[in-house]
Amino acid sequence: MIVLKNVTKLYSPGSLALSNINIHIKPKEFVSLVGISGTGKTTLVKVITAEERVTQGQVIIGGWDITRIKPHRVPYLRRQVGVVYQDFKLLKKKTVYENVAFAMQVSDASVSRIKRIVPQVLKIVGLEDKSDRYPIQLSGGEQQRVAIARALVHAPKILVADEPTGNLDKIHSKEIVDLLLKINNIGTTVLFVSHDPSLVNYVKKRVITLEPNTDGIGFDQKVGKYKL
Amino acid sequence: MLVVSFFRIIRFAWQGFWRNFWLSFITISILVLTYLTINFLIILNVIANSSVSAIQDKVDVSLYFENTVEKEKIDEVKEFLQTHPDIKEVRLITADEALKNFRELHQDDEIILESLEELDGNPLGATLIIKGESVESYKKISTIIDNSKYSDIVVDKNFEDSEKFIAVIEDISSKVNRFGIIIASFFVFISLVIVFNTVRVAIYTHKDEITIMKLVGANNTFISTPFFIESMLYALIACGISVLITLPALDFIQPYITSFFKDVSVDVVSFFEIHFKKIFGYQLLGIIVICVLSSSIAIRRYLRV
Repeated sequence: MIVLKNVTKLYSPGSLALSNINIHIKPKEFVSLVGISGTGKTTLVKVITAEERVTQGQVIIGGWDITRIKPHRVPYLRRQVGVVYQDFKLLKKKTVYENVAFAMQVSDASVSRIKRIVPQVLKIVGLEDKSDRYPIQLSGGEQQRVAIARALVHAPKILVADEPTGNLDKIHSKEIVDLLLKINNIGTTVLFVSHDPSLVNYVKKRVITLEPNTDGIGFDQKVGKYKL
Repeated sequence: MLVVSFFRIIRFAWQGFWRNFWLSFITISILVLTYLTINFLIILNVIANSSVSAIQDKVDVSLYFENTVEKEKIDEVKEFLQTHPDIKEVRLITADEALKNFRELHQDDEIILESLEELDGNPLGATLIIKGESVESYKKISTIIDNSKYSDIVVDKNFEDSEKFIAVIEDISSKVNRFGIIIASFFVFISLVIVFNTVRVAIYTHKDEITIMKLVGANNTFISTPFFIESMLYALIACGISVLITLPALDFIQPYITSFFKDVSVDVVSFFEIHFKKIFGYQLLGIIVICVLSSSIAIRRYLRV
């Protein structure tokens, strides 16, 4: 569950990123967040992952009020909210397996748990036979799947995908969206941030549109289309 | 879990150390120079202290009495002085011994010996030779004598010359120390800057990993501790190298020191052997403090966890 109540984010006086945003995303929901550049999509993702603090309002993630979250609690939030980005953020010198295992190694996971979980998530994203490849040996779509696998190792309740298809061609983009839908079917809440109308329309799920210079969100359609 | 995390942190620190090998090498070199400068300062101190204490041992004050003063009176003065806490030892040279010593000293000088023969009786009086507890004692001893009822029977005392001599030695020794401290401070400062810079570069080199660590929920301690460990590793390795250089170097220079200070016993090898744990322990601790301090400044500044 993601709840944003009257959220306003001001980076500096005169630099308003979000204004009076109210969003309620239910558990296991798939929501596409769309909007042109500068409407605050990335800021919203940063607010959800506690990279940025809101200026006003309240942010609740999975029942946890993170509005004034203490820095030492942030890592625990990040284990509950998986995030994937447009640029994959993979370690080039590590294999697929190592990249995914790395996320568990740095979070106190035992060796036996790593050995059990990593193959499972690699199977979910369809990369079980490429676990010893390096990122450079993979296509863009496969690299993004590695990033998704890494985001899934902590079995997060929420997966935020910030423009995950931004660097991919149409075929690979569709594969990634299918994978996100598959993850959603398993029971994970997915927030899919995109500016690609064809993908958003392909999903046929709830669409929230952020509009520039608007108080609140632009549109919130239950089964929507990209509307700009 | 804690043990697993601990070993992973150590592994990350170790990887960081080797990944920036040349940077680690330079950092360790500077730290070794700092250690060696401090050791050199200690060696200088040992030499200076041994010299001063050897000279102090040779320094004494002689009180010369009129030859008419009776032995009982001189014994009384001796007893009076011996009770004083600033006085370590009082030795009496009787008038006869003084004359005998004088003759021995000038046995080749016929004119002096003939002059003695022409005199009636012993022209020399008794002497009290006084050793003080420390250099500072001599001034007090002089005052004690001047203010005592025995001041009239003392013909002369030679304490000023000794005091000046010791003052010169102490002045040289303190200047050497001060210079050494300035040099050591300079190296300590350089070490701080170098370690700071090394950690800064290490953070930069690891920036992709750090971003991902933050992204996947690594806690702040897990992210920052490898950098502290890495800097402590520099201190530890530099200390080891410093020991490996210092001890053979001491063995090498000891014969030269011995032959240079013929009359003074200066044993730097023994000094380092006896105080090995203290010298290198405190140095290691000090350098670790420097490393942790500069790492924490760099981490606070560049690693926004």
